[in-house]
Amino acid sequence: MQRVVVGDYSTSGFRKETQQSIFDVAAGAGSALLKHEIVLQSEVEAVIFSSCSSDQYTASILAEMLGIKPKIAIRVDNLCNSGTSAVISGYGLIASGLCKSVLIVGAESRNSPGRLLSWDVTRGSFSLPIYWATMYARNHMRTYGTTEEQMASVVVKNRKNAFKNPNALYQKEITISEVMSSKRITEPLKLLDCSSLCSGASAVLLLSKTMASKRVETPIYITGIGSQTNSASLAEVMSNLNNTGTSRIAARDAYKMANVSPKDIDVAELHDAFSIMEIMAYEDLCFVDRGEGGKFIEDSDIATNPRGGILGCGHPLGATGVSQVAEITSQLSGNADRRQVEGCKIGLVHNLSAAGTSATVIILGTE
Amino acid sequence: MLRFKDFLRKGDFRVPLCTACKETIWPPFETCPICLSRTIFRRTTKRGILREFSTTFTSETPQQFGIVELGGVHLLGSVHGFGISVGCKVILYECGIDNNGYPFYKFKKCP
Ligand SMILES: [Zn+2]
Repeated sequence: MQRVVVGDYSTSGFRKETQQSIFDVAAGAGSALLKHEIVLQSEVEAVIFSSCSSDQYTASILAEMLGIKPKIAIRVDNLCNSGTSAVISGYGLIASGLCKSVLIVGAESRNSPGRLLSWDVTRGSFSLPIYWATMYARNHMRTYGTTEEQMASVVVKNRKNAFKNPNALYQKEITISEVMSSKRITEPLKLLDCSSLCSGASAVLLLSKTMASKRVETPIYITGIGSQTNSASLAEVMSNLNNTGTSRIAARDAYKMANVSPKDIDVAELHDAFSIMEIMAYEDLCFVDRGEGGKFIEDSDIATNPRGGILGCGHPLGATGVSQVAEITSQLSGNADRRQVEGCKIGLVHNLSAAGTSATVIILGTE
Repeated sequence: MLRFKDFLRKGDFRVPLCTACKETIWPPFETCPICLSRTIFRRTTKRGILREFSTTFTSETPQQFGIVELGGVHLLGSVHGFGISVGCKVILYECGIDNNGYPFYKFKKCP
């Protein structure tokens, strides 16, 4: 099996509005990556487009815009988990020997149809994500004593990190009291506990180890992958709010494949579309025991969401997972500029969709 | 899903039951995902247990909502009444499809 290297990456600025089409947004990140000249357009053997856009034939359109005639052009849509699912698909193409180079581009516009899943009748009229996030938060507070201040401290940390990331949607540090006094949307979630949908794109280039040699100065390997889909509806999720079972399975499988344990992780990008989700991720990824997530933020020895997470960067659905992989690659290769986590060698990406009905964990390393 | 919505549109909340393995199927599919046999849509109890709840302030007036376990399935609905708590008994008193095409389930606390 071929080892897979993240050979390059490029993320555009995530912004509230854009006048550009989804394809122009995507091509912006893709062309920025290609201009680094790690590969020629003629050497890209697959293009994978990650987006919840309702457009058709999207990967082929993107390939044509980028001057690529790939063997394989496919689109992956998996709501918030799309980008990480696309990276898994690219990994498979290279590990199997089918391709030597795969360009993955995730892009979304703010008004993406991926913002809600109208198919799911179990949600009734409470179709927006904030309602399931509220159920998770209420349960965690009652069952484990997690506090609104602990949730707010996740937001403060991620906004602080985003302040060092020029691509992040939010460029201003905030305080716990600002989070606590922001508009109450539900009990207990405030406006600043919630991420914002936005426009943006991110691209990563996956290469076989052989192709990466002589081209990539500091190769960062994908060493572990775990992914699990339990359902699309919330029927099963609603019967157990204590954890996202898919994240636990994905983490277990990824740790096993990479032959590492949670304590080996130096830096992690976690799914934090709502502040409570990052607290639950600490537990589901076994950084801490069940119920201890609220306290982890106070004495964490793992750098979490250095790019600013979804709370700080905004959430262009199809781009989010790709940009998480781009961030961890930049961290491990020592190119994260002002937000560099010193001495990190093993990194983790965690992403999920629709209340954790599906989840993905990807582990990356310098060896 | 279409048949479920047809019943729901008339205010008739029905949950599929597998004709072969007799499992309750939720979300409401016409084929059983366990044994792949046909399902039939049966009326279920209207009495459920509130498993989690909260209040949303997104509409003009605050609204209580929550997860109700009803006849072996879980669903999100509005919950009316004072002094509700996790574990309290609720009853489905109205359901249907709203003007935007979304199902709605309205519960109230059992007296
Ligand atoms: Zn059956």
